[in-house]
Amino acid sequence: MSQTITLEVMRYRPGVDAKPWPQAFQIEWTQDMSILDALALIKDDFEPELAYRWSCRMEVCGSCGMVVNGEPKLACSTFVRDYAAKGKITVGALDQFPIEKDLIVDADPFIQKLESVKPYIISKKARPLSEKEHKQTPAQLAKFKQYTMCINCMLCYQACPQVGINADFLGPAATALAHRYNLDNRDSGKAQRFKVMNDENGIWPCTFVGYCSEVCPKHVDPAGAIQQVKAAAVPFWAISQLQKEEESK
Amino acid sequence: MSRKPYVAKQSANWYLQNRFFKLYMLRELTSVPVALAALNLFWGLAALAGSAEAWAAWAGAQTHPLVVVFNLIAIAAACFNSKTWFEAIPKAMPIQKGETFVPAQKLIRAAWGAFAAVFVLLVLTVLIFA
Repeated sequence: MSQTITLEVMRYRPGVDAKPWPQAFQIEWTQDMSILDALALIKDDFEPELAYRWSCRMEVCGSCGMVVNGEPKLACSTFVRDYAAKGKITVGALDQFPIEKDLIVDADPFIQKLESVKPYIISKKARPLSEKEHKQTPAQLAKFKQYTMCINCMLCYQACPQVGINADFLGPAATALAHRYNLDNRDSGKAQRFKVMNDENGIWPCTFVGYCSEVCPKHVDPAGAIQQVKAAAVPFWAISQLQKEEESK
Repeated sequence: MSRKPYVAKQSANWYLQNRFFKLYMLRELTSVPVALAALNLFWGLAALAGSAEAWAAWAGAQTHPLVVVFNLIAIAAACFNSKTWFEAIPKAMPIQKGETFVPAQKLIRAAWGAFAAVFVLLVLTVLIFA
């Protein structure tokens, strides 16, 4: 038996539309159909110009972040069947970012924030090969493993009202990844990252709403990471203030 | 074709958009009754330091039904705020033991235990010295 549902897609065609507008499609759905599958069906059968990003279809690449009925979701792991009772699904772009076309947003603001916290291991001096591998115990790995699960899907940025108020706020994922490297026993780049995180638009605009962790498809808990970073950042802030005073003397 | 990205503006009433945001705002709003209750206590301290008449006036005002209701609201607000912060403990201060972390529920229950202990201590102090 075929079942139908209304899928409303927020369209935005640069140069044509002044702002996003809803285009409704009546589609037949099946139990195993994800929102991503539904969008593919629309693109194939109804609207070939519909633009959206996707790649892995299995919650790994983080490309298909969208707003589904007001909630930030990955289209690949969100299923049409869960909205059957409502009878209608509205899909829009992650509009905390500039919308390029339809469901595609400009990820540059996030990438710049991520780059600013140097999300890679920083060594004080290059480790010669003769020293062999850098050992890490399972306990040392456990300290930060959760944060390595981030797939950069940007759902946490969509969930953050502080990002909506101040687009320059460093935000959840970039902080969680900075924290991941700060907790890594092979890293010695803390001071550089705290300099960025103690900036006016660093971690401090966070008021711990916590919705970022709620929507995270990989259970990274960026809200928790930011609170831990806040506690760890204070001594670095105090030292920087003292250094400033010394310099001004 | 040149780019022409659309920049959306967050709606002014974003905090009404879902239950999570509403609870967050409720958590933040608890500061208002708690601050007012603290001001009331400061008024009491000032009255105590002032004169016997001032103290009697303050103590008399505390029995007014509106003040009683207000204090009950302040207590409820403080308890709700405590609940949210106790639930934040495992996120903000995780305790690692070997390769695992102390379960969140354990930390939250420990916080409520400490809360209950302080409450009992305060009640006992009042009963002894009252």
